[in-house]
Amino acid sequence: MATDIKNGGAGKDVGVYIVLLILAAIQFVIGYQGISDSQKLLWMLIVAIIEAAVALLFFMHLTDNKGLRWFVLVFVVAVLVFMQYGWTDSFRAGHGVPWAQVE
Amino acid sequence: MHDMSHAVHHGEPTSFIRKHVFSLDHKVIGKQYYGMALIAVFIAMVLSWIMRLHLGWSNLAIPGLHLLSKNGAPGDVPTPEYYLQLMTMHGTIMVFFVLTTAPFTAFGNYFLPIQTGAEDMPFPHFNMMSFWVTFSGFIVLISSFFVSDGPTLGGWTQYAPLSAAGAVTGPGQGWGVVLWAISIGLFCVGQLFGSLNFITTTLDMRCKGMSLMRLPLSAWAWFLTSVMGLGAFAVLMPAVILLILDHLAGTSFFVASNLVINDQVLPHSGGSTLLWQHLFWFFGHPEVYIALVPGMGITSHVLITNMRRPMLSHRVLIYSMGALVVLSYMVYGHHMFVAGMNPISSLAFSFPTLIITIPSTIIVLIWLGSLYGSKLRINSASLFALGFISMFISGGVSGFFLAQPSIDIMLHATYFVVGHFHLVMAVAAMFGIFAGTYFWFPKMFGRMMNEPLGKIHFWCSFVGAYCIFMPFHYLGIAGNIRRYQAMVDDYLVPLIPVHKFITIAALFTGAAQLIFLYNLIYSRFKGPKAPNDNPWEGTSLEWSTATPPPHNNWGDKMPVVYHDPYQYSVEGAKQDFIMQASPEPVHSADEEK
Amino acid sequence: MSQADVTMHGNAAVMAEPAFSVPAKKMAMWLFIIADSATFAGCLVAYGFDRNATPNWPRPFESITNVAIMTAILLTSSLTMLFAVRWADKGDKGKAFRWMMITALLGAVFAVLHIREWIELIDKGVTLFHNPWGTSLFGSFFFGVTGLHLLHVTGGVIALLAVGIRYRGGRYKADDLEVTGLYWHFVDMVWMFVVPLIYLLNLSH
Repeated sequence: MATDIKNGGAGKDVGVYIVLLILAAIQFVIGYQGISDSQKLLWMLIVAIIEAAVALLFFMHLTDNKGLRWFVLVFVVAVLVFMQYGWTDSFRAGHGVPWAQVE
Repeated sequence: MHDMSHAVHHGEPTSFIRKHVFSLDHKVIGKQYYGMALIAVFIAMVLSWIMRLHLGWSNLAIPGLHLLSKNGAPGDVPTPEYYLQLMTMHGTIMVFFVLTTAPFTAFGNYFLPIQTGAEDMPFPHFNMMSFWVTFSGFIVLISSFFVSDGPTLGGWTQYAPLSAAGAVTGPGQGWGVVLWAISIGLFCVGQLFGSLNFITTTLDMRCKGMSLMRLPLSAWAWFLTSVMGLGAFAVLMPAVILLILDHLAGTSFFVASNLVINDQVLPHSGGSTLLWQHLFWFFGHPEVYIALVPGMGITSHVLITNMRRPMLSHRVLIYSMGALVVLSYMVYGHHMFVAGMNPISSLAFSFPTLIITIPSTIIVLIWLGSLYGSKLRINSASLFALGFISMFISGGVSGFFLAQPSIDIMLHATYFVVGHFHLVMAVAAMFGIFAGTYFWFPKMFGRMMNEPLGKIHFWCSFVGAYCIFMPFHYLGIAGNIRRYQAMVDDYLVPLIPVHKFITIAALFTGAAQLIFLYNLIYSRFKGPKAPNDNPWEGTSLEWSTATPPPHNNWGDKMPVVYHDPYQYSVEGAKQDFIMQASPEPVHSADEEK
Repeated sequence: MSQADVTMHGNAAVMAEPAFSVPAKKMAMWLFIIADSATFAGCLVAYGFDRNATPNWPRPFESITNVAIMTAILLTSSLTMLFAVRWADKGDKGKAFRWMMITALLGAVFAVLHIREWIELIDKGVTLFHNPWGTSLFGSFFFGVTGLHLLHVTGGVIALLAVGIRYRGGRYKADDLEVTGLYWHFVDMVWMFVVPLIYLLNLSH
């Protein structure tokens, strides 16, 4: 309920907003680094997950509710993780053998 | 009991349309779902009859079949393609519009809010839309019988590229597939609305004193099923939208480059056929449990009431069903062992598939252990609940074999798998529906169903189902490929007598369902009145309210729950059971706090 | 009590405490968000699956200015949404409504910028099934994934307008604003994944 939001004021919102802007900027910087695609992907995803966590906790107020936090976290993470089985086939389709070295 | 201060959700409607058609009442919506499933199951059953007749006697003319499709059945004998079209429609209608709707959304809609002590679901408009969107999906699916070259022939799984490459791949692969995909897309939307309502009902709409652990096992089963539905249908929906785009917008998500079909080079390029399977089965395996888990809940609920004692462990049963929910997302690839999937993933899928047998086995052992030594009241409902357990075990045992990729690769394309999933998922879920129908009919309509007819129906269905599906395993081991429309190879010809036997058994078992239909319709109007509000001497909340329940379920007084769901054979109690809403104290140490 | 009140606050007189103390309406929004993230993840995994399996995937994006501006706008709109909810909590309807409309406006600007970008790409010959740079899947997934997101933004703008106006009219309460806000933050959050995967991995340098 809206009345639950007691801790912090608009100042905290602005602080979190600036953090998110910086994180988004970091993503763009990573995009321009001369590193391999897989490394780029890894780092950008890590930043994106941090961003999502910050937004969930502070913008969507999951800090206030431990029970809901675990419910959402377990549900989403489980569904998203179990979706990742397909990658082995993706690699094989592209490179002909399981776990081919990606150049 | 509390007084009039309860929430008035929506006034009782008076017009016919708002009362029986576009009703917001979860009980009416539940009955609408049941009615739709009933129509669907008989359509799909007739389709299976046609298929079975054709398999037993491949030149047999089935009178009137040409009326359904002139091209598909010239001279009333189905063509090979039409056989596949019938098979696809049988599978799609059964899996989506019968096995998902009847045990889950039909009974769940009717009894979940009552068992949690709610007046209605929190979002009745979504609930109404859920049914009507699902129903329009059903209409769209049926309408594909009447487009120029008939419904799709791709199987209920619609494997790409057969499904995605368009009309060039065969009759029904143009508009048939598009209509199929639209129908399933609508179905997903409907079930997502439904799941949203089910979960919020369970979490947020319980009456005073109804803690989560005090919910009956059937309510738990519906809740867990909707948790599965929420994730699964949300992924199938984009998958079918991509499939529609492949057909209508010229994309090639699921069609690889340079594919030649029927001497035509397809214009598509770049897609992946395995991608469809990954997306589909990510939904498809939870779907199997969506069909099955409500039946587990209904079976447990029915058995406990008739055993007059609770299960050995309420909690472990709930945790095991929860484990099934989680594991159901992790094992989907065992449907794809023969699809040319990476062998590493085969291993990764095989392991959780074997693990999923552990909670299943625990559930079965709890059932059997609780049944052991109990004085089970034998009636139609409890017989069908026993039948559910029997089917679940028989079908589950063959699952052990199929979980191993090395064996599955030999058996997957044969009748062995067909027998496996029909027993464990289809017949078991169907028995759950029957158990629920016989059990809850007095509450829904205020009349009793005919018991002798119910028992005849059970024994015919039970024996019949085994006569149909046990030989399937034999056929599979003998190498009989599934989806063949006629047995013409040297090694298959000797198997034709088995097929004839199965066909006769199928006709017999199907005919036995007419007994059920007669019983249902006759009892609805002419059956003896239920003796009281609680004919089975149950304890959960649905037996505390009037029969049939009033519009807001409880009349003037909201219920208050004082006990665990299954207080049977309580020492020192006035009767041998104490209802959840009864303030009578229970002097036993093990009641949950 | 009206039904809206029950779904928003529960009914403590006759009902048990909601699980996690989250009443039905907010719970439903969270469940929708869970389901929708599965939908988006399904699309993004499909994109990754095909991108990874396709040699010479096109990398057409030269400038990221437009995307950067869009990202900043969407993030800012999340902030203004928070302001709206805070003012609504304090009971200042006028300010809450104004911030809500600013949020909707920012959402609309985002959508316009996005459509402008689409039109530019379409002018270059990119369609769902063809593009000048290589595999046709690029256009399919680009329009598919960003289109799904754009659909959510458009729906969000309409929801913001509808809820805002009804809030000013007194039909909706501060809690409804917060539930709408949850959706809007979610749309923002998804964009954090769409940008790196669709745009930044396909830069042309």
